[in-house]
Amino acid sequence: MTMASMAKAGTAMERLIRIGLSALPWLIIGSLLWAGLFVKPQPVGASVQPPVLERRDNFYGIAAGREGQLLVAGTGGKILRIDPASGRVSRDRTPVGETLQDIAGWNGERAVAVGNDGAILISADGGPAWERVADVPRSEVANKLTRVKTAAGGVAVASGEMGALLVSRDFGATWARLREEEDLAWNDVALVDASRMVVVGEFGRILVSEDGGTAWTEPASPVPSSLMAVAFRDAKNGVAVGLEGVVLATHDGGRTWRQAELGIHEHLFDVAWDAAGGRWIGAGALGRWITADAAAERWQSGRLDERDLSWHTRVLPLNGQVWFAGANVGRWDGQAWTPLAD
Amino acid sequence: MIERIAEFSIRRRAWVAGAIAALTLVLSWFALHVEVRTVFEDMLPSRHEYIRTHEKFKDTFGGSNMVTIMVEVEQGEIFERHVLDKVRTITLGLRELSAVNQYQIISLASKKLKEVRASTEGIESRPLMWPDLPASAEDMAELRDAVLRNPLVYGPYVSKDLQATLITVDFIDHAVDYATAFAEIRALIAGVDDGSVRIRAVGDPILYGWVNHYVPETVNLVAAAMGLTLVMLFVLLRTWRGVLLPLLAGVVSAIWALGICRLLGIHFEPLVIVVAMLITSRAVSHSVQIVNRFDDELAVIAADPGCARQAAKVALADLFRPGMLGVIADAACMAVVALSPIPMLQKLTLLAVVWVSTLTISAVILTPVLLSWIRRPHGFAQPVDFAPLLHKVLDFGVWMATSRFRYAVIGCSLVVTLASGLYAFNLKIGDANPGSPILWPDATYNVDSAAINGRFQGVDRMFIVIGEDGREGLVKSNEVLHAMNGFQRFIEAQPEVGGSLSLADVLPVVNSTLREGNPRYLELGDNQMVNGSLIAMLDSVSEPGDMDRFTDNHYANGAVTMMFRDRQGETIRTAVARVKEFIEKNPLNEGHWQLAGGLIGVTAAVNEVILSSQIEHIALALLVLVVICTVVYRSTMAGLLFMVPVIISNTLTFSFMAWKGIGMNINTVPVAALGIGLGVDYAFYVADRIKEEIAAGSTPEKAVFESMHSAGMGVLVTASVLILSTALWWASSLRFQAEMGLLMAIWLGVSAMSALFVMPSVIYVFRPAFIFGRRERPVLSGLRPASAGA
Repeated sequence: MTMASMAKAGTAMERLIRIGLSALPWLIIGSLLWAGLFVKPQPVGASVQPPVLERRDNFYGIAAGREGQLLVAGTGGKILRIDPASGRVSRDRTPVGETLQDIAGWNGERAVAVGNDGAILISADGGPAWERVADVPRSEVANKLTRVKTAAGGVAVASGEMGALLVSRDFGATWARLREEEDLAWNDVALVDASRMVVVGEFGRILVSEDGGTAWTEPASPVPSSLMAVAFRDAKNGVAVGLEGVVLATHDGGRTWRQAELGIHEHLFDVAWDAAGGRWIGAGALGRWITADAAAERWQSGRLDERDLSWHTRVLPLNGQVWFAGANVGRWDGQAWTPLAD
Repeated sequence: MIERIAEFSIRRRAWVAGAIAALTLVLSWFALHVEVRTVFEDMLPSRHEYIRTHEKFKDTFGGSNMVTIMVEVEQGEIFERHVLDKVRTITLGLRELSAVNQYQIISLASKKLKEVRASTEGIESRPLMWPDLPASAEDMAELRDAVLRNPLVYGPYVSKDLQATLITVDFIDHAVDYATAFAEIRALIAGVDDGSVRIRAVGDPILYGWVNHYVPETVNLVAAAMGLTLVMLFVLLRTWRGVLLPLLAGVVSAIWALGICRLLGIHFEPLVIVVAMLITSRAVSHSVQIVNRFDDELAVIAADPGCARQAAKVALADLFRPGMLGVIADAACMAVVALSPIPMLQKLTLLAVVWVSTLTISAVILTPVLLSWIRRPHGFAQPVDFAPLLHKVLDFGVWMATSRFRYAVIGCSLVVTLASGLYAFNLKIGDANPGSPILWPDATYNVDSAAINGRFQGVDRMFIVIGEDGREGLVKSNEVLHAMNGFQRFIEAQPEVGGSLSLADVLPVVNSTLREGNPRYLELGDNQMVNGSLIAMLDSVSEPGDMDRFTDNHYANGAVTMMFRDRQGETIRTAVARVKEFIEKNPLNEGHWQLAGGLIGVTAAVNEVILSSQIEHIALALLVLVVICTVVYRSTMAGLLFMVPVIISNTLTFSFMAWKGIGMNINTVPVAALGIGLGVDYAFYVADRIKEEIAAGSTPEKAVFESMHSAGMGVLVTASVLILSTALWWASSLRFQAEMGLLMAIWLGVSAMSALFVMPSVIYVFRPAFIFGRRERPVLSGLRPASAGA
């Protein structure tokens, strides 16, 4: 390359740079105009992971599951698994959006949940896999199932609106009616032994069957108001509770009932026999608890916490503690009330 | 052209000064009558979708001027007669306030909070504590139980620990006067406050009430800042003219601007005082430059009787171009903000543009005209001379520009600009912290606000509407009710949303009540028939106005109201994005969703507008600047050159805002916009002087030296004076003003630094043709034939 050509190349290069430089301002002006007219940033929000326990959740049902875990069922088809030791809560996937009203299991291995609109879910592994049972007997009018109880041999009985009293003898796979439809709600059933069942419901009504649900007798009820739950500690001794603080006790397998005076007026929604503590225990509205000795003679009652007046539809004695489920879920050791928090 | 203006102004100086004086006199009458207040409606971008929804439904579903009052006991519970009596007194007292929405006063003592109960005749509803307080202990216990049973009261209006209760009241948007509302509410609270309970009040009327409350303090700060400015000018410039003329320039333009403001019917927002200060500081800067130039000129011409006149003429002519350029660039960059759809910003922009434009007269013309009357121009009014010290600093600047160090200066500036530019992307839109950014975190208002948000679901509200005009009864439909319920579950997953309320919350209570209080029915009916009859039942026991919070009279539109624990930009963005996500995933067959009213809805709209126009503002302001410089210097390179200080000062300031957590909101946007133009003023003086020196035949080194020691001196003096006086604002009780003061100090500091230390290096290294290349006739050639070498 000669000096002359190098100089030429140099000037060509310089010219290029000069053209580039003189174009630069226009480029900048152009891009500013473009940015000013067309760049409109859009808001971007952070992502939110919904908590397992949500503020609007009600948990109507609670049951003991596998490995000391608890299962609770409630609003919007939600089933949660609680590890009482660590307080860890996880959620099972369920195939329904209907609110679940109750949940029960067979020795932790298998489980069943019932709820609004006749929804029945079963699980062969006690969760986390749930499937919806098809062909559940339905009423034309209303189908809310409020309670389900289980017994040995895969027996389950669900009770609910429009006289629903459904039985399954195959771990919930198929269901059949025990009684014809009628215009009242059966609120709970106690599976006392292999053949005896006691059912309570609206208008204080009580039903007793001694042959697994084929024939029914209706003993006289001492109260006209709705009974919400019933439980037996053996073949003879049982307790039923209901609205406005009603507590009934029987010592003859449900044939006769006597009302106990507790002097409370809050609704009571559940009662259970706490075998470990040798006592009856019940739950209700406004944080109410009730307990009694085995004879169901000496009743005591109080509030779980003066500042937490939540209602509870279920009570579950477990390993020396008592779990309550309803507007919130928590445990009570007889002194302190510890609700689960997320 | 410039010469002719200078000649004319000085020759007809009596006429010019007289005309300005007369005009100032007339305008000061108007300026004295300018209104000082905050008008809420001006803050709303009226065409924004959310604002339309807000405007349409605010009277029914709650406006954005809600005040929340909390009555709190330290020990025990609120269920004591003396506590509830105070609640009742305040509730009744609120009805008497001006501009209050009578239908939106809610508390335990109002008729609105009711209990729905089953009775033998069906259901009945009765107010919890209206008209009278519970008379006996049994009645009190009954009230306590009724509250505890009621999820619409226990939680939203009575705290979970029963130690506090709320009174909420809404003011009518277009009628509310914040100062009045604030004073009346404070008086009402003071009337019942005997120390046995704590009473706290929050809400926009209270917040802006506090701002008004601090106006006298702000005025004192303005006075102190001005005093400090004048004292420092006197110390540094050593002449009375150096004190009085900048003061006069500032006062004259303030009077003109406020007078014109009054004529245009614009009111003055208390928070805008910061902007006013910023502009006044420009007036002082320009005026000081001219006085400084005048002094420089005196030093080189003979001390004859006409010397003041001659020096004034030279100062006027020489600084006319950079002065005008600075003023016009400021005004034009600010004017870009007027594109914003927010009326407050438009009005403020108009005010600022008018104000800045008056500097063309008050500083650029008036100062030299008055200088021409100076009789004994060579004396000093005080003995201490700081000039040698300042010249040392300027020598350092000259050394930086002309030694090899200049490359390091350019390199460092580049690195700083890039780094701060990247960091500036962390700048938040909307409020960056909980509590109001206008006040300090430990201010009464913010403490009260945190206390109420801690005990309750949240003070600030947003409502969204579901339904369709003309479709009567749509809200009663199963689909809409279940959509509301699903929406509420979804939106409450965000922790900052303390709770939400809609018709879908009331019906489950009615449902359960009808079912003997069985909580298994604490839910919406699963079909139209059940829900329809629940609403009919509710209607039968409601009085007119009872359902206002939830639906309009025809059940065509219903509201979901969300309570927010804070109003940070991030919180609001997330909530709005989630609202949209829900709507998209859950389409309705009938009716549609409308976003979004209430204070949070309105704030969301404002934030969206600010975010979407942020790039627009910066880009167009820079564009305007580039175009103006290109036209004035007839060189595109000039535009490019003057972008340098602007970009440096803005990236640094924005980074500072990001670092200190100062969000970009309706109050900070105007300051930021003004800052864009602000960054360049000083550079104009320095660069223009270099150009003049080169044109007069100097070597580049000498040109830089001369420019630094004349124009640079003005920059150094004004910058140091103004930085110190704006730093005084840090003492303000209003955090907003303190931070904006600091921001202005940084802006002034950075732009002075870049004008003194960066620009000379850049000019010296790149030698742009519009300064070095063309041998133009110097501006002063006709005025000063003998002083070409000075």
